[in-house]
Amino acid sequence: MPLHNRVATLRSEHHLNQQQLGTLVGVSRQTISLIERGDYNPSITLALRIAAVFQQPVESIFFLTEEETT
Amino acid sequence: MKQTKPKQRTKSQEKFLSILVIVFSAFVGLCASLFAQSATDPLSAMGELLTTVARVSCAPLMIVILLVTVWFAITLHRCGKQIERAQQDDKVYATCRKQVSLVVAGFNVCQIVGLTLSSLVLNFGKELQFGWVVVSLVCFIVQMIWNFVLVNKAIRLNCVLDGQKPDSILTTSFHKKWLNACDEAELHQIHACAYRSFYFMNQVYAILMVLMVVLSTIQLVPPLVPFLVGGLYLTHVMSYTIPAYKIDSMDAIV
Repeated sequence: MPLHNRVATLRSEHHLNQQQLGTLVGVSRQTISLIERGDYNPSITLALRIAAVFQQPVESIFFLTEEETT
Repeated sequence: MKQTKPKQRTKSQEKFLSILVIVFSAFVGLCASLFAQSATDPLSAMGELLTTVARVSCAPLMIVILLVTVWFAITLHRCGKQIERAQQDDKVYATCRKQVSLVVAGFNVCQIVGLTLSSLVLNFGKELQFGWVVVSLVCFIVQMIWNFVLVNKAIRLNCVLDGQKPDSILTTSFHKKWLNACDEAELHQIHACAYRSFYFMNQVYAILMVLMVVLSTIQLVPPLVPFLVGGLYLTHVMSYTIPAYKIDSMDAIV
């Protein structure tokens, strides 16, 4: 089930590259790239860490579309 | 739940892959039986042809393998320079990571092919010219040492790209440390690839086993060969089944 996310947008707003965000949340640059492309859905722990970095609720960063929730 | 995008294969692609597995296994089994047969029946035309091809080509191919290793080394060197200049540019890092993975896979293939060719050179040593034997063995030794150095360099480049991996393959616990240093997405990828490899080799071993038993029955291969293949098949299956059983047995019924 694909999970949409705003990680790339928020990352550019915070002037972070993938490596820097990866270091902040404790994963590799490649993992951040996979998450942004939608090729990998992060675990709850990782999603919460990403939300903490951007200081936003998890649901505003990772979400399903209306079709997928029905 | 963690997921990656599933790649949908069509039915024809699935059939093609199954045929490829069968053909590959049959080819391996046939080559083995023809080589074995040529040892006992020198008049066998196919066995002689394969033996002649192997004898003529094994030494020059060692030089080709060394040249391929040189090309990989140049690619790795260029990657290293790009990474130094990149200043953590994501696109450059993504490209370099793919190149480094390709180079490491290429090194492993060269190593295996080099080992096989060198064993052929030693096998046909008496029939080849002395010069070719020396050149081949020197190429083999140089390639092995160089492979080792370059794989180490590739791992150090990965450390720069990811910043989280152990950087020495000299330690005996290298693979364990590597696995522990992987994050969740990398572990997911490793597990998916490992299962695909297990499944593919399951099919290959099964076909090879049946083929060896048939060939052994009609005395085209020595009787020990099916036992050897069976032993490898059993080791392969147990290497998956035992850890899987341990994980299943930890599941508590509430």
